[in-house]
Amino acid sequence: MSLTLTRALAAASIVALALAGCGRSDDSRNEATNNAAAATAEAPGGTLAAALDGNGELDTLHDLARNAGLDDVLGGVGPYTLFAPNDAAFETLGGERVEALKGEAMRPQAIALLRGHIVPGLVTRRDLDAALSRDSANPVRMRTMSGGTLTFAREGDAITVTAEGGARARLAGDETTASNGAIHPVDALLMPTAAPPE
Amino acid sequence: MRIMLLALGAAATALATPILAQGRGHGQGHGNDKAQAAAQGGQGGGNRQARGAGNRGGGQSAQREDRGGGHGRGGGGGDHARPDHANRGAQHVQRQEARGRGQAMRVENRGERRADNARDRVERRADRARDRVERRAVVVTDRGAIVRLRRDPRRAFVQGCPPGLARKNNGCLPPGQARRLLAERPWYGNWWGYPDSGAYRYDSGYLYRLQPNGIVAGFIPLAGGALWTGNPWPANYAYDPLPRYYADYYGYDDPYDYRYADGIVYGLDPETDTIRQIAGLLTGDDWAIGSRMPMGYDVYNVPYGYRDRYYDSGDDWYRYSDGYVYRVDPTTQLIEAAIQLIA
Repeated sequence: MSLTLTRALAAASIVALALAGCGRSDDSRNEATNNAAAATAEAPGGTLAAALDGNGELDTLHDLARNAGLDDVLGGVGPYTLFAPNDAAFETLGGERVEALKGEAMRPQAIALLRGHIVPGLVTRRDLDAALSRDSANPVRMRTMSGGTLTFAREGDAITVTAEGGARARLAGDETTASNGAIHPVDALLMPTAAPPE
Repeated sequence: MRIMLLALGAAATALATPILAQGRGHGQGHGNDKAQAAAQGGQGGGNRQARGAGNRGGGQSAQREDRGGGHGRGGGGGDHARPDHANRGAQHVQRQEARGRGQAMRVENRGERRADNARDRVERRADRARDRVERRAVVVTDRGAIVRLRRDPRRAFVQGCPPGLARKNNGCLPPGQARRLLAERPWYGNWWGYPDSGAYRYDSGYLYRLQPNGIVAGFIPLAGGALWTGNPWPANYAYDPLPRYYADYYGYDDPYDYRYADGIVYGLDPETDTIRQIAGLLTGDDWAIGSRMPMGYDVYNVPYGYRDRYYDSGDDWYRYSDGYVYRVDPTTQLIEAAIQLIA
């Protein structure tokens, strides 16, 4: 009895929603349809922590996240999106600095660095493209978990990202989506690495 | 009871048709805003606390929006009838499995001594998963119903001296050490994200704010430094107890005392007051129904599991922040509703 009623009510809801869509403008409906198509993709099973573990070009970032105690965060519900400097990006910092960042004495710096590369929510490459296509006159900005802002732009076929301090990177390589977010490799650190002026 | 909820939801969805037909909203539904607000009313913590003789205790940081106004269209309950409970259930199971994998990785990395604790946590989470509240979205347009944690970097600053350093005539640090810090220009010196970063210097887990004469004006205990596993919570460092909604949404079900400070959620051993984990990162951005959307949310960022209901159109945008999805008017950028992702 209860199952029958449940199904009937659920069907009624679907009909109601279908009718509800009839009144939308064409533009609105088209945009909604495009977004819905992207939205129906199933969430991948693995977490961001697992995705970092399995990415051979993000070993340094993975080490930093683990040493900084963020494995619970990246293995949790989230979601977060990482603009993840690849190993080549960390090479520009120099081996000595990178090793220091992985050490206990610089855990606060590692956490600050990571927070500056993480934004809230799930952001796919398609979401970025949509935002950049929507309004070319205004900057496309995202808040980081450190309170800073990342600004995105198109440069030919590439997407660039610039941090408040002027550090700039390109999205490099394919995105990885996880159950609790996404990872976009970038080719440079989004933090200033020069000493502050006197 | 379930049948009653479904019936209400289906009826509400049918009633929603004229509104939706005008191009407004996805998954708004109808319901009883007041009932929803009342249900939420018991969840918040929000009293900002500090232990010991700190300079900053008291105050409210986890805030409810002021009541009055803000009763908009829709309300809670419309999503109860949506036929996607099975999907959400599957996602919930996946999430539990993923969390289990994360636990296993941590055991490998932290050695044998913590292995038993980690296994216990995994088993405990698996047990509690059966009792976990169902993940379902509820639209809230009542300004008083939402509890949010906010971040103000200026509030992270603590006047006085860090634990173990006594205030003297010249501040907390020996003059030589203060001069050395003041002279330093480390390559990571601009990473801290606090106002007037030129005045801050890092040393031994704390960020010091120094006056031009080298006297310490105050300090900030940093995650990974003073705020690290095994360390006691700094006696005069203020925090917000984590509201229940956040704990439910993020699945914080270890027997910890969860505290929020300066954008980070920490799990503490409630008996020893020592830090056990960094549990989460929050933006602490200010999302108030009726106010303008905070800067930095130009890109659609709704989590999996909610994208089929909350997607951008010419009439509405949806943005995720710290456990809520918000409905925003694309033209005015005003926040119209908050969507709780845990009922």
